Amino acid sequence: MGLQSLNIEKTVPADKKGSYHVFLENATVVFDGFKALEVDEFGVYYNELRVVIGPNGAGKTTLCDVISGRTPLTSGHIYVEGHDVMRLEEVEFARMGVGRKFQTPTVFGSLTVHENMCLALPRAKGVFRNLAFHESPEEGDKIDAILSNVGLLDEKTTEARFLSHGQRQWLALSMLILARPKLLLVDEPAAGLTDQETEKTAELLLEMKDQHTMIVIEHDMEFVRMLKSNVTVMNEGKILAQGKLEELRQNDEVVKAYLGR
Amino acid sequence: MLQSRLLTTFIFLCSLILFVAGDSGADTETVRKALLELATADKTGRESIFSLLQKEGDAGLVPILEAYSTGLLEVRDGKLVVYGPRVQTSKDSKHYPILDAFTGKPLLDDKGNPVVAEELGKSRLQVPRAERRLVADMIKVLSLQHGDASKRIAAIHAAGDRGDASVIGALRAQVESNPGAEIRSALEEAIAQIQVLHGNRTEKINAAEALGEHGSLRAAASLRKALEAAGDEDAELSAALQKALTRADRVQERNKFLHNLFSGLSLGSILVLMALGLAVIFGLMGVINMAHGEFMMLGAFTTYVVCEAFKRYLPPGVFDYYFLCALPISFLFTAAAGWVCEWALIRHLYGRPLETLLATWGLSLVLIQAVRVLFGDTLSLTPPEWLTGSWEVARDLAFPVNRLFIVVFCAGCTLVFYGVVQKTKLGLLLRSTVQDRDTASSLGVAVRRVDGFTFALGTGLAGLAGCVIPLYDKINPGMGQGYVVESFMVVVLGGLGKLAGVIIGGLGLGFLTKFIEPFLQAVYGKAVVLGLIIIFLQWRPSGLFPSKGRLAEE
Amino acid sequence: MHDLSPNAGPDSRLISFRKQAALGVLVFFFCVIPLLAWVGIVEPTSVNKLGRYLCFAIVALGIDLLWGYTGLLSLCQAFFFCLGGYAMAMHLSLPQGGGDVRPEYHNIPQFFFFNNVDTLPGWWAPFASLPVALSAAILIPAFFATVFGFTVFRSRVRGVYFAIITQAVAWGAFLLFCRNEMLLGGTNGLTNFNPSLNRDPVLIILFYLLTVVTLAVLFLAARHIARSRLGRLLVATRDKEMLLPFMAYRLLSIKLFAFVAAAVFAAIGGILYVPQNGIITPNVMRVEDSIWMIIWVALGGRGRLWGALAGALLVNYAYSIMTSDMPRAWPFLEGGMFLAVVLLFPNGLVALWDRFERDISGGVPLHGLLAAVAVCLVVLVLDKAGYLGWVPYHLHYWTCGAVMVLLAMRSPTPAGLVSAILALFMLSEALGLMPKALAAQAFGVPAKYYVLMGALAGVALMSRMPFLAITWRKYGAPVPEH
Repeated sequence: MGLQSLNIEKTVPADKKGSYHVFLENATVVFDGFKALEVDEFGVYYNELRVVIGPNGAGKTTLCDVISGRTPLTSGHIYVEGHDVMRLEEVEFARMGVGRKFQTPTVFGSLTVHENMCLALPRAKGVFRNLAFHESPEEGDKIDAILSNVGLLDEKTTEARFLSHGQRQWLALSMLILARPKLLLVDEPAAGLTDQETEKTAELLLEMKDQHTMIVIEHDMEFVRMLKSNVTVMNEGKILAQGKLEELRQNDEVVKAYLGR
Repeated sequence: MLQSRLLTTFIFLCSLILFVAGDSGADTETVRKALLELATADKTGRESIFSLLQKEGDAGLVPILEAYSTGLLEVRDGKLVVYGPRVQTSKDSKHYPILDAFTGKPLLDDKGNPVVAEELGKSRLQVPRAERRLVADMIKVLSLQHGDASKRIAAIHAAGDRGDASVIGALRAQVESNPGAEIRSALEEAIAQIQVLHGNRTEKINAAEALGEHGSLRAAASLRKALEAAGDEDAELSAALQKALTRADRVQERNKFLHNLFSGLSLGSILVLMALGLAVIFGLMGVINMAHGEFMMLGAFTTYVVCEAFKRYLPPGVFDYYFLCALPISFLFTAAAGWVCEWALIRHLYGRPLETLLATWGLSLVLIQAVRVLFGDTLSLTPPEWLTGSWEVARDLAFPVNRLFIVVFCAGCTLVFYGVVQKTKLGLLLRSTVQDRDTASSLGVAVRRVDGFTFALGTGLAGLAGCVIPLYDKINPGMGQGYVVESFMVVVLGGLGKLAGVIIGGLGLGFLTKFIEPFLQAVYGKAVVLGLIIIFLQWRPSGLFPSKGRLAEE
Repeated sequence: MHDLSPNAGPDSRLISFRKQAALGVLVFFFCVIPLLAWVGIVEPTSVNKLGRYLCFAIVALGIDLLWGYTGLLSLCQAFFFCLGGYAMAMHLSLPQGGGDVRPEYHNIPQFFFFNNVDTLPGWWAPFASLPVALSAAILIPAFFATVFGFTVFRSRVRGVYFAIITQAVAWGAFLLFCRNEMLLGGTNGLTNFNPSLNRDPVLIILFYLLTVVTLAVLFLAARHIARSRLGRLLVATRDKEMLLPFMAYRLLSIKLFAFVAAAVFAAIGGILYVPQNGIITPNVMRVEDSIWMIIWVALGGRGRLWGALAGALLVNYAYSIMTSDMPRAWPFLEGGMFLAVVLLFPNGLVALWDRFERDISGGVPLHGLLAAVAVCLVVLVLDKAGYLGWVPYHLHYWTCGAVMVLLAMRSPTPAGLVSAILALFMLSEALGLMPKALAAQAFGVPAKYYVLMGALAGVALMSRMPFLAITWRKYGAPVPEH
């Protein structure tokens, strides 16, 4: 199945791997005979914001898992910044600058909000360096700034397990923002949030838009509209279409698979 | 009065032991008469009596002749009697019971009391020195003609193992008389065993070939003896012997292999039964049941209690069926115990697997000590008659019936369990709960009840495993702890919650243990098995049958 | 989790109280006990016993780091303890280490004679030097933990699987060490050290002090680890390890660090334990022993370092008095202890302490209680010196106890009362002041335990609410989401 590119780049560079931040080639993931992912070509440019949508079981989370190294490809290739990273583990992906926020808000429950943020600081990742780690004043200011932006500053010393669902979503997102990865994978940031919270989340993501490559997975069409970016539609493990949301609305296949329902 | 009754009982018991096979055809009139004449006959008379006995007599005479050769035979009031082994009849007196030589029953006086003697009588028959050998040979030959096939075969084997050239004639004569195939083969083997040692050169070579074909342990032993005796003088003979020996050894190797396979199978099937329970409890509830071995122990002690109850309250005729009765009782008992534990203890600990480990460990300590207080330490039970003995598949390759039973029984239990899980509504509920607790619960599955039921089922399986253990081993309150570590290894090997994995893992561990043990001692064997499992986990971190996909990550 | 969150900022009053309490504990172990022993009030054997329990406390520290903080339940800590212990024991049984060797046994450790070995095996020789033996005692367990941990963690063996595998290791090691061919004394273990090691009062006190110092140093080290960002990483591993790799932390290194650190702590405990105990056998490295070590930490309170220390001391103390009082009932009590810890006190004694702290931070006069303790000590010294022989029925002690309870009653906090009752019970037990009448047994259990249970139940009733349930609910074990 060919890539149905509607309105992205007209001219594709000769060396795709080099020009994309992340690029998948003939990638498949098979679980017990079930093809969870089957992608001929999928690429995201540097500093692009890409939204991936699709019905349940379309393979969105599997795509995320592959790009963050959590699930190895059954066949095919994956390139991050032009390097073939087929056999690497999650931690190596992370060290290449791939950051991830999970579908459910994943934070460390028995650590305080501040401690959670402290662990997200993008330095001193080795064991022994952490023994003598001291947070610099600038880092402290930065943490405070991010926390106050999401309204968590008052909860700085609260253990994360006492936070509400929305607060935990934001804490997870704040940790990602603090870590400043080059490539962000954001899995359903708006799940379970109120409308205002969703709007705020969109704002946060848009703020980071031009300095980071971002792949956002979302169900909420209102949220996708707010992001105003290129959209990839997936269905049954395959890529159905790519383009702007408005254009995709005209695409019969997409409408049939997803939007029309 | 009491004393004399006691004495009677004693003597009766002794005679039973002595003459358990002694009441066969020895009692014909001619033989009886001939034996009585032995007391008065002179040398030629005795010779004719001996030849008559050899012709007419059979193995039933052996005890009488043995008594004769040891000087315990006597003619008393015209009756042939023997002295039984001396018994303590009262605090400070010992008596020889006097037994009728032919029937083996105690001799009674006019009042009906058994006759005893304080000393050995002066008129006992003595075998003249010159004829001792003759009598001894006669005993050997006669015992070859034992009426009971298995005893006869044993006697034939004994003759062959002794390499006794004196009985070769008798053996040959028996082959002529066209006995059954089993006896014939034993006879031929014994003849070959004797010939390979005492025959002429051709006979030796032929015998060696025959023994090589037999390939039994005793054949190999005889060959080895012959090879030693042959020395280096006759190269051809040595080569023939060597060749036959190699052949016999190969048969032995095969037997050993099959035997290991079988022991591995029986060990493995018990492990499977244990591990099935563990795995289903762990798979469903995430509970590490450290007390699983103790539930097995409870099953074993239930069997013991049932056995004792049969012994005490029921007629001896039905004793043999206690085991059939014990199986359901120990299943129900351990299942009930498991259900109570689940209700009182485990259900408070869901989602905290490491703490269930500690709690069930505590439970196991309590159970062990409770059983120890109630029953004491090591106990052994009488296995039922029909589960003793062994099934001889081939020569020198016998599978004990109890182990066979265990294999069949465990396989049956596993099948039933599998059937319950795969085919019944109950199994469906169980599987749905394993896969997704919350969804199952929201669909109206009574998750709590399923838990209780599963725990009871798992511990019941352990109880069944415990039930079969007394068949081959002593039981003690701490017996469960050895098994539980291995069962955990099976679960780890098999992969979480996969029944097929548990079965293959259990059998695999059983085989591995039994095949490593002969090379290394049991202790090192266990250490090696452990090392292999750790290496195996490097290769397959989540066991043989890992679950894949989204669920696996949770 | 106060250790973990200095920012949580408990009020200054509480901090000063904690400092006082810590100081009190230090003074007690460093000065009071050795002094009392020096004067002769405390028997040398008791000091020796306490010294051994402090070695266990060192092991418990490591287990707390590994289990309480990192969430890895290892069931082979007793094996590491023994590895350290055996290395030390090898040194101590050689003549250079003061071992009791004899010419009739070829001047090498005596057990060799019974294994038909005449000359010292080559690999024993280096242990003649103390520095070599000490470094081996630490490096061998560390090396083993590294290799084993690396293979296990690399293949992502987690949670209960890890517990099961380590349990199997402990079991295998126990079987191996029982073999005579290992030339480590088989089931009899290593003994025949210099007999004065655990008999001479001076040596006993010296070893005791050495253990206290080591424990203090290691406690500070563990506290430094726990309070650093690494400590938070350990807790993060316990909470949600799958997230860490995505934050660029290498899970393998974190877990390996905790595992090796715990192994080294256990080994150091073993090193100090052996000379004070005088013998080491494979019976100390059974699976049961490892689980026994876990219960110290569980009862003390995991995730809190001092909880582990207190747990190790208290559980062993209880073991020592109860096994002598009621040997047959002990397994029931031991099992009951496991069940009670898991079901009723999932957070262990630290929860009790937290409760106590909360109560007193509301403003309870502690000075009275401290004064009562001081008076008790004075009475104790006077009595032992022989000035109070005229008081019948140990009335002076009972008065002291009553004063303490009354003072505790002034603030009838359940935690305070429970602590007072427990302290009273243990003190009178340790000093041999338990009335004779309470030694009468019912169902194999001496009456004093019924009295103790009754008192505790009375407190629970008095507080008119299931106070155990409150501690449980409020400080429920941090159940990780999912």
